[in-house]
Amino acid sequence: MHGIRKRFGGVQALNGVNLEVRAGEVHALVGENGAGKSTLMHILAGVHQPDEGRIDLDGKANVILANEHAAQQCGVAIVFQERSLFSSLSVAENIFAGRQPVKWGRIKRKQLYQDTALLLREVGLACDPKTPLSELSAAQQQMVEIAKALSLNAKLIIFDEPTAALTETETAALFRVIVDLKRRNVAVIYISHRLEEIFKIADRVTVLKDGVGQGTFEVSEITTDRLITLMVGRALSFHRAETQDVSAAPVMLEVKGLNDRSLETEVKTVLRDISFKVRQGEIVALAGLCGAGRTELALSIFGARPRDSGEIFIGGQRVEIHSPADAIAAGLAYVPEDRKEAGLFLDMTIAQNTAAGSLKEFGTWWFDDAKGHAKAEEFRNRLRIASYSAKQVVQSLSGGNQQKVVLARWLLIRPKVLIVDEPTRGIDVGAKAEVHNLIRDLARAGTAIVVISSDLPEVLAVATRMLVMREGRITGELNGTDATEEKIMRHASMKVAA
Amino acid sequence: MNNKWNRRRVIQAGALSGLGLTGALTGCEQRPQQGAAQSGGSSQSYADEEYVWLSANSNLPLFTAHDHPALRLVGNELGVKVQIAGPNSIDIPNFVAAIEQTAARKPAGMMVVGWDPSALVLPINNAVESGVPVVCVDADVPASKRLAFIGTDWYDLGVRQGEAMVKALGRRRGKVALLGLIEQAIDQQAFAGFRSVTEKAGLTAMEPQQDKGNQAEAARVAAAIIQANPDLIGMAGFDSESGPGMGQAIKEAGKAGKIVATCVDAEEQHLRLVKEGVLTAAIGQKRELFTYMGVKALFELRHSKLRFTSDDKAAGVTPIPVNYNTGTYTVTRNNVDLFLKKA
Amino acid sequence: MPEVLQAESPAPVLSARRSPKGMAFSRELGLAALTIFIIILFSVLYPVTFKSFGNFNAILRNLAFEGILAIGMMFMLVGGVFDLSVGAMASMIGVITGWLMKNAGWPVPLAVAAGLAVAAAGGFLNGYIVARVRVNALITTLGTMGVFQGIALLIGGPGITFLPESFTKFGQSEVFGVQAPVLLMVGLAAVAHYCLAHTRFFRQLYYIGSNPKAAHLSGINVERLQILSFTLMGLIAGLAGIVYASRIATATSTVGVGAELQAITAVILGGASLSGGKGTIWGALIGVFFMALMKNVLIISRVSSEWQGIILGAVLVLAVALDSIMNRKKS
Repeated sequence: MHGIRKRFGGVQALNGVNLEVRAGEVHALVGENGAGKSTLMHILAGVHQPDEGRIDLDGKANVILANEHAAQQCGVAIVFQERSLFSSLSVAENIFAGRQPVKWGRIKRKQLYQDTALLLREVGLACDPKTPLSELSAAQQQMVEIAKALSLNAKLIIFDEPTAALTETETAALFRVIVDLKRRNVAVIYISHRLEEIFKIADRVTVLKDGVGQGTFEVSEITTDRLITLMVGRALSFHRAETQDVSAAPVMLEVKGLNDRSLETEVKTVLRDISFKVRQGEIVALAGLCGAGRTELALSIFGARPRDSGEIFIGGQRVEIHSPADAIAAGLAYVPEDRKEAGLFLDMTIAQNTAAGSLKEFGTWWFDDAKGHAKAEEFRNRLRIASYSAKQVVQSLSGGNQQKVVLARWLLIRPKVLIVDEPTRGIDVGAKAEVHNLIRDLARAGTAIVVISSDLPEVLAVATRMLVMREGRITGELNGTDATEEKIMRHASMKVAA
Repeated sequence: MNNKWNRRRVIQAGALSGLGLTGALTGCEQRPQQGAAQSGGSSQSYADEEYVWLSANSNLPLFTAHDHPALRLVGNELGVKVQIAGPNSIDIPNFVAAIEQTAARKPAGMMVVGWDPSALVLPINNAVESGVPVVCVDADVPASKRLAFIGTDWYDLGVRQGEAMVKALGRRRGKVALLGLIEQAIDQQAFAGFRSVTEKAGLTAMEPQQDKGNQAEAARVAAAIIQANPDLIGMAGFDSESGPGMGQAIKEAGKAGKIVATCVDAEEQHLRLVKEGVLTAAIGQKRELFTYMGVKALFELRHSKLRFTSDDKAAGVTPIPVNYNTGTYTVTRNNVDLFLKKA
Repeated sequence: MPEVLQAESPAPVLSARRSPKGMAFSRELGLAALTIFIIILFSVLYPVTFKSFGNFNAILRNLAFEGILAIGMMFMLVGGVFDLSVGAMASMIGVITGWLMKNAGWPVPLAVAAGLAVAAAGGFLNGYIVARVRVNALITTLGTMGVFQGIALLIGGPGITFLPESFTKFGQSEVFGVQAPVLLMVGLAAVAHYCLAHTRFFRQLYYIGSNPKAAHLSGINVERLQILSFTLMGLIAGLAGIVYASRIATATSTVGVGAELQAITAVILGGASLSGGKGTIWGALIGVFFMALMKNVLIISRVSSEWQGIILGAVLVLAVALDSIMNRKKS
């Protein structure tokens, strides 16, 4: 791939990226969230079209991959992070979806199953081709994906975070398959955050940062530290706001020994022995990669998720939190990660959204609509929510303003502790700054704040202290003044001692 | 496997299966009734013979009040087993399935209520051809190979309603409204019978209105008809729910006595309205005869000593009539008390 | 990574889109306008038969049952759930109350209270299974519908007639020429409207219907409210059954068959959304009235029975589609 450029709306996702992969090699692709890895791979798989650039594939120059089908024809197969399989159909039906052997339009079942059995043997998956996909484990389903790729005579297979949901043994099995693919001269592109895996399986590694390639290296010739520096190192273009000294302030939130072994999460996140403190006026960031368990932790503290054990203290007092209502009563507030899904009442007005968390404020029996409206107006002005009145329906607001509405809801109750999950996701630059200032103002006024963010520059700009999580554990604690993106990244991606 | 076998999931599964089971049970019912063998009477014991009555809407109050008790009565009388089968709602596919399943057991005979004159032809024929005698009761499936029909002559019923209407109207002439389940064959026969009388008498019978076999609907439709036709002098209802609904509407419109109303069936609700003078006449069916004569007909088929030819079976001659007209009775204010005492 | 900028003044406003009260208001207004238009049209076409007190009275009398059900159903749909068991519940409670009065000889007020208590219990059962055990509302109420209907048939049989006069006096009495059940419906609607539109407690239903997850995270006790609203619905359905039995002086075991769908249709016509979070009580009543008006108009204009069903269905589709088109034009 030469000079690939791609723009989505206002964001330049890829800015002249080159990538060269040889047959029979395992080529790793690394970079932090939003660096452009997925976009690059989607272009290769035909899902998107590059704005500029050239793709040479399999000896053919300047190949146009107009859609997924075209990419498949050219021998490119991608094993997605979110699997694209049909869980209610059988393994055989999945592998040969749309390509079943037919005679006079009727599917030849016997041959279908025979062909499938052959493929399954190749990837080392021992199961009946007739098995419904839903009965297989995540790892086995992944094998089916690989088998599907092989059946398409793929010459290039892309793995996007394949081990996110796998155990140690399953990961080992996957690596065996990849080694086998190498032997057959199939080119493999391997995307992963888990740097130790890269060192185990890959031959070469390419680093992407902010849509720009940072170089391609032989795995044997590079170190983890250097990789991390290449991934995240950048000139600090923020000026970090002076943070007040809060070491003497009283502890507002303390979490002790929080455990949650529930396996109901999609990613097998298990919260283990989480303990930390947040003082009045502090802004503590919970950094880490997606799937580290930060949102689950927040939901657990807030009472929206059950936990196996753990104590929570607000203002020094132990509180029993079993539901969000309990949490709110104790002085906690939580701004969810996905505001559209869990934060907003999209077809309701600003006033109604703002009042949602504190309905009791507006009357014990009779709901004081006028008061609700007045309060909403107050916050509308204070937070500068771009709208024409508090009667406007929030669905028509921009992302940044919607986020402000959710914030307003929680500011209304004057919480002692505010947990914000990804406060500036999907928000434009100007609004981002406003939200950061808001958070700082709140801290100055005495609220203890926890910010969950995957945006490293944001973390550095806003937080006075950072806790880094990986796979359900707190792996590191950094002070605001001497934290760097590299340090955070290291804590976030290195393997945790079991 | 989760270490906590989620208690919630267990309760969920339990609740779901409980609900599902209830749903299934309310869908299809088989209630066997044992008829005790008669002590002294017939010297032979027929206790191993089973006669099955099948219908959709099998637990309809009309059935449970008349058809079923008579079924049990005749079962006791003859010393045979009787059974009630069929879905609890107007579910024709399930009804067909019930007929087929019953026929497969080879009972001594089957009585089928002809809810759908076309859909039931095939299952009845199959049963007959497999050697199970089938008769139709209450409503007929004439296109099938059923061996007899026992029920009300609906054309005649319509005639009787017409006669009662004409008599009550005296010299008045004008419009008369008709209500019923307009798509049912029996209703249409009744409409025709009714019209034959009213036309001769010079009355105008309006186009029949749909009342969906539902009392509230009948009340609503009747009320609207009364408003739409201020010169209405009569109203006739042709399914068992029409009468009460019509009566309600007439009462509320204050037209009791001004509009002559007749209906079919003479249950407590109808009788009450007759007594109050809201309904002029209720034409009752002798429902008990459906099952009583039905079982008797099937019994005769099996045990009759009559011979018409040297081989009746081969000749296709049966020792029973093909049509049993069970007849009707007319309830008016004059005799309503007789019927009420029974209720 | 771009620098931190100072926020500029707020961006210009986007097109107006009013609140759920505002939006359904437009749907209600539209339906009300359509209703008035039809009334005027047919008053002109049929000045004697349509435009008469007797006719309107007939329409009102015969919509009271579904009207009461629709009031309860609106609470349900605002909260984002269906209850299919309401018709069967009405029959069952009517039958139970009738049986207690006639066969068990209980005094009327006691029988009515007992009937309502059973209704609340049935509603609570629905609510518990849906909210606590987390079985889908549609399936739950479908199941309980069968149970209630079965009980109604079991106890009621062919109907319990000759109910005591002290009981039927209510259902048949008239005030200013309007039958009492109608007035009860209007009174109930007024109370319900006040509760739904103005009380803090019921305001939570809108939040739950709009986004149950966000409601939970805002501290609203979703489970408790759902159980309560089902209980309320049961109570209202029971009331409808009792009032109907009072009106016709008979407790029929099949009075509610099909009523639940009529109620849901009316409520959606009147502005409720299938996904929840929208609707008002007056909208429900307008929906009920509109449907009853349409049926009446078809008979007044002598449309044949077969065509009535077709036209009614077509009008319903048109009314909802019109609303959808108007909304798209606005935004």
